[in-house]
Amino acid sequence: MNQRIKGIAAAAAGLLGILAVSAYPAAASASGGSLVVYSAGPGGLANQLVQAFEQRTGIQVQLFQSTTGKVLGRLQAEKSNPHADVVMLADWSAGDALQQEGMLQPFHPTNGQRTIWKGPDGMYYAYSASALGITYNTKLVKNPPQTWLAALNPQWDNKIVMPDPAQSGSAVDFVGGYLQTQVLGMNYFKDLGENGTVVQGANADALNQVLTGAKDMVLAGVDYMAYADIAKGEPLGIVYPKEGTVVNPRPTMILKSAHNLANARLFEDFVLSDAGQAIVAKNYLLPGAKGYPANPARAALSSINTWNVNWVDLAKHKTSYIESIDSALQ
Amino acid sequence: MPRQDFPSWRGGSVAPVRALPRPLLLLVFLILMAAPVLAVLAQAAPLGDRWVRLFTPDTLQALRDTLVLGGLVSALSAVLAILAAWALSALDVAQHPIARVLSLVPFMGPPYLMSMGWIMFMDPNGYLDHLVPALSGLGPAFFSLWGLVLIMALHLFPISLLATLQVIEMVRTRYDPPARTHGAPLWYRVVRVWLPVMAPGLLGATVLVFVKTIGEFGAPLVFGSMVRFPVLTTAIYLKMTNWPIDFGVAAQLSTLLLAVVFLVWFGNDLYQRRTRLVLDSGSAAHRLARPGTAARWLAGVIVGVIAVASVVIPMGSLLVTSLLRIEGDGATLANLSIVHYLDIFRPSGGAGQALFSSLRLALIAASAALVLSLFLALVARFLPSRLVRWTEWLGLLPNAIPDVLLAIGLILFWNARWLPFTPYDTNGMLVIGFVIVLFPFCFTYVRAALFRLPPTTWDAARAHQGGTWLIARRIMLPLLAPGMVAGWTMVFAVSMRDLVVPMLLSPPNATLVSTYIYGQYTQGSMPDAAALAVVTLLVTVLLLAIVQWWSLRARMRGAIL
Repeated sequence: MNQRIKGIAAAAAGLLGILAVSAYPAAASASGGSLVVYSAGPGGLANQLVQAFEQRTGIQVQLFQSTTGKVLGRLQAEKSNPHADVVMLADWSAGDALQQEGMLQPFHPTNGQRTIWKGPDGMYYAYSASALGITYNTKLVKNPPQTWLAALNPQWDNKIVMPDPAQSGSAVDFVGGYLQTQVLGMNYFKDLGENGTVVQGANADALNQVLTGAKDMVLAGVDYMAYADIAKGEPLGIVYPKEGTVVNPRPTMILKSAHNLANARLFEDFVLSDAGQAIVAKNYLLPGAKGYPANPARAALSSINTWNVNWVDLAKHKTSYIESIDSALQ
Repeated sequence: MPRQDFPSWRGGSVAPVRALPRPLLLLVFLILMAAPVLAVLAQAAPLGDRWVRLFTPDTLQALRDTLVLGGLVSALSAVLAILAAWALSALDVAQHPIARVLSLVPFMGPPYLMSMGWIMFMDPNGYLDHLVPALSGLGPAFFSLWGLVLIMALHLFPISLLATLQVIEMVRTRYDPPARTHGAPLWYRVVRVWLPVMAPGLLGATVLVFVKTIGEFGAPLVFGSMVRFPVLTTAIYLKMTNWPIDFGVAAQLSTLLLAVVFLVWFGNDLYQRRTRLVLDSGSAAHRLARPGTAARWLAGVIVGVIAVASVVIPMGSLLVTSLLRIEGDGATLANLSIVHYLDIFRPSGGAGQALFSSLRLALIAASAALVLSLFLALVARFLPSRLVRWTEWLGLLPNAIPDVLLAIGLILFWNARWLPFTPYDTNGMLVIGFVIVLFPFCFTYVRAALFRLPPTTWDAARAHQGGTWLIARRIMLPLLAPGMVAGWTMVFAVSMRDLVVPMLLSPPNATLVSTYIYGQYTQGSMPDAAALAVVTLLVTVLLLAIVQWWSLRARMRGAIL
């Protein structure tokens, strides 16, 4: 009798073992990979870059694809035993943050000299950039505001949504950029709040409010997402306000702890090469290489009035920006 | 449930259960449950003066709002669970396997997407505006704390529905008929029979809803950010995803949650001990009295209203959205198309692969959780000891901790350099994550099923010289099967949609349904996100219906193995 129960226990243990092993194969290839990339930003872009790189070099890439916040959280949690080689984020100040933590190592990509935005000492380079604008529903809005100030016009009361700075890094950047460059300062956001502007979710979430017609426009939405939707036939338009706006370069970098350093450098070379930049342009982001043309369907960098943002200072005040927007936009 | 002694299984006959070594079981639970929690708490500890910052006005406000939200949501879901349970029971479908699966559907949708469905329904120019323009005035009232409470209660009430159903059927079969026979009026039966008998079970289930509410991120982030209702979980989330990322402060904030949860558990425990209500639900004494026509109509209306509010509106909004060729062109016939389904299920679309991975991992996690639950429940039933009680307590611990914190703890612990072997960065980590987060659900069902069996069940067989193995296979297993299936179902259904675990623990190159949907939701297209959510829900419901049907058939035939 006892034997039998023991047999059952053994069988159950065996079953668990099989389950564990069956979960393993995908894993086995994960640890045997020869380059690990953590990337924030549109999923399609990172996937395409990785696939093209794999085809060219035959190097197997393990891609963890998420948002800037989650990639940073994962890097922090793995700090005692890091796994990533290359990190690509959607926010320039995040590059500075990782550098301050001493987590990066310098590198010198083949095309490093022609990148528009560079971190200090070759620590990080921008492989792409996004600009913030006013994205509006063309069915509901015929004469969109041409300036940030015009968005305060009573005709837009309760019609504006902004991505939630707590969930969207680009919204924090907008707040920081605005406060650094515009005299109206915090009063602008207080006025927006009084006019019934709300914050909601991440970028796609806020944009969805405009697509469904619940709101007329997204204030400070990322532009590449709108261009991608316009290409699909969605009724959207985008305005880059005359006062200027935030253009946020997206950094790519190599961790000091990289296990596959040579492959990581090859990957960075590829991302900043013409072939890599072509994939960036295809996804409606601004290319990071000087002279590489943007997608003809979108506004070129030269036509966007860009604020000169102090990213280091901006990074320092992020939490207070998030909190003050929280109280301003009720 | 109060403990009772079953002398007939003490002594020599417990030998088979002895084969399960108790210290080993404790060790397994220490590693699975305690280690990640300790890893997180260790982060909170060495901050010295920063503890002071815990009690800022902002934090206290968030704590107060958390309690308000938890209280309102658990109250409303208790009401919903009672109404739904009574109605299902009155309609005589409570035991129907399909009804059981369908009643879980509101809990199967990802909370943030369900919120999104509601938002798209209630928004200006939303689906309600198109369907019933006269009701468009409801919007402002909905976009408030009350909307958040409604959405969360409609999502969470299935947690307590099964338990409530059990108590209600028990009252209707055992306790109400005698009172009725003796001519007690309705109010008297409600006050003196229904409420006292139902209260302990109902309170236990409501505590679970409360804990889940205050630990929930999805709805407070998506809907709460619109209505300005920041709670502790949103503050924790902020600390974990915004630079400077500070797990220490996040962990400290969650010690507040932990404290609240423990107070609530403690209060509930005290109450359950004090009431010491011994309910004998081993066998139904009476056939259910068939309710009158009026009652059945009322029950039908209640089920209909709850189904519309908890499933049809949020999932319907998502379904419609997934079918819009151009989202900005609105819901017109000409604009309907299945292009988004075709898009995501193209070979390069990735959704098929994600669905397959999710199914595989959810199956493994549910089966592993079930085996583990069964072991622990058997030991707790037949070899109770202090050690075992501690092990049980560890097993329930994950219910007291926000999932997101557990996931961070899992990274901190399993990625430690000194471990000789680790599943970290493999799919095994996801399985462990699902098992840990969902084990309390599974264990609660299995344990309740086992502890409900009166010893007479096996005494009778033993008197007829039935061997232990025969008893286990032919008597215990069929009687335990409904509880086991319920536990397995819960783990499977929630693993299919859970976002927190895969978002933080996915190995590179692994995309699950939830991370795919979330990626589309945050940085892609809402119709694509909605399309995969719809497909996943259908696949999950279909699979669970098959499992329920199979287990019912097997039980009908009297044997499972």
